Amino acid sequence: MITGSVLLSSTVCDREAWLIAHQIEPDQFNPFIEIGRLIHTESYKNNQIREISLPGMKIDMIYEQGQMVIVGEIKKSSKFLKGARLQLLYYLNEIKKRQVQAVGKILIPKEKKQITVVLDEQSIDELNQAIKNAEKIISLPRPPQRKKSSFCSKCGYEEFCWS
Amino acid sequence: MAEPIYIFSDGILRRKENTIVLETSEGKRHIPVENVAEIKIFSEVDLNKRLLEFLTEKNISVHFFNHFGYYIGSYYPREFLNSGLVILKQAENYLNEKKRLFLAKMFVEGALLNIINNLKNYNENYRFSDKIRIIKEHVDKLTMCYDVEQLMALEGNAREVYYNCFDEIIKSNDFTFNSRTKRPPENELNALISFGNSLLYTTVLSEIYKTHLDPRIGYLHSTNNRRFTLNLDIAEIFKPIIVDRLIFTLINRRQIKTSDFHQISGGISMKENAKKLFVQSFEERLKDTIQHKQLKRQVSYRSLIRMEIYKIEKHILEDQEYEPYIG
Repeated sequence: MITGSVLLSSTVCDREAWLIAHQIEPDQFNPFIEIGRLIHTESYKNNQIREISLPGMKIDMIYEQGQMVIVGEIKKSSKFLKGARLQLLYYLNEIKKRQVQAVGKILIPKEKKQITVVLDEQSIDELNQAIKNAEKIISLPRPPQRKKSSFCSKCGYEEFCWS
Repeated sequence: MAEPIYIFSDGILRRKENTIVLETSEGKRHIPVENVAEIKIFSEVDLNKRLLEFLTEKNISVHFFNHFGYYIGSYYPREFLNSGLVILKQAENYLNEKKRLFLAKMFVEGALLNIINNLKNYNENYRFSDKIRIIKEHVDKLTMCYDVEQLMALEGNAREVYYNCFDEIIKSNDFTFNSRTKRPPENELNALISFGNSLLYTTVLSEIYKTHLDPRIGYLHSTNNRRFTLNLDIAEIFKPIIVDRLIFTLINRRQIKTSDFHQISGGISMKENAKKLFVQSFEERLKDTIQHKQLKRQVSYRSLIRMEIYKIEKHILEDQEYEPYIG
């Protein structure tokens, strides 16, 4: 199933996208995953609305700013911005189908950064392209072959892939 | 890095806010829950549902041993990693006889090759060369087995050849092997093997809990209607490397002596101090590291166990064919 995190990972590693799509989660005791989890729970603690779960989506934060609805996605660093943007576009598009217009924000508390993501015609094309690509990956009967990359050493699947 | 907690003193184990507290007659010991990998209880401990809920939330398993150090059972919390695909594939590999036999064979092969390596370590003056050759012949015959029972029989025969070498590996005359006896073990060496094996079984079980595999579906051990079997399969590979080597070292360094045991009805059991020493050395062994070829870094034996489980997961997903770890 396509989800926000499948789209995100498909920009980094096909194998990761396949595994996530098949509910084979990364090692939950991996130190980088634990840090990420901590940043998620400790940042923006005082915000009133937090985490909303919908099919294929786990929205970190949704709140109103003036007339606008903001969908916030908390990230540890700006390392995977391309994927984070797709993830937000996917959320924005899904909630638009439910008649809610919103703007996305990638929130990187550690870097004190906020990056706005807007769902316009061009980005919808981009999103659809990415969905098509991800669907192709996850419909494979087996996980795509492992490939060594610079991301492996900090990935929660490192020990799974390279054991 | 989270650590396993071993409890040897009687008392009450309870949740207190975000920690676990062990209350004994000697006082309170606070155990920060984030540092707990698993809990192994050897003493009389009272605990309640609130604690079990807390342990479930933190994904911590608990293993219970009786007064004599025999395994009683485990609290295996609700699964927190679920993949329908993995469970289906795991069952498929069990139901398809050819696939099941492949995995079962790999477990036996891994165990026997690790046994051979143990003997090679102690092969002064080529004293075990004949025995090594015989066990190798058993390994070669594995491909001819057409069911799991045959595999197990072959493994049993090879293991007997291996056990016959124990008296020579062990320098102390106080310890003799005779034959393998369980429930209860009839001599000191058998008591050590049983104790070490149960520690390993529960360690592997805790590691399986951190993966998507179901410990109830094993491939080699499945006939005996036990609750958990996959951990027994995987433990076969690591028994020679972790448990047997530890026993040889502890006896040869005279850290464990026959006076560390006492008679119980129909058998023999380790005294508490010996159990504590064994457990401590066992944990040190799990923390020992080796250089991992693929990962290009040091990994502990405990991680190696979890990676062995990943390898099985990859095998059933038809990603990479399983090959057992040979140390």
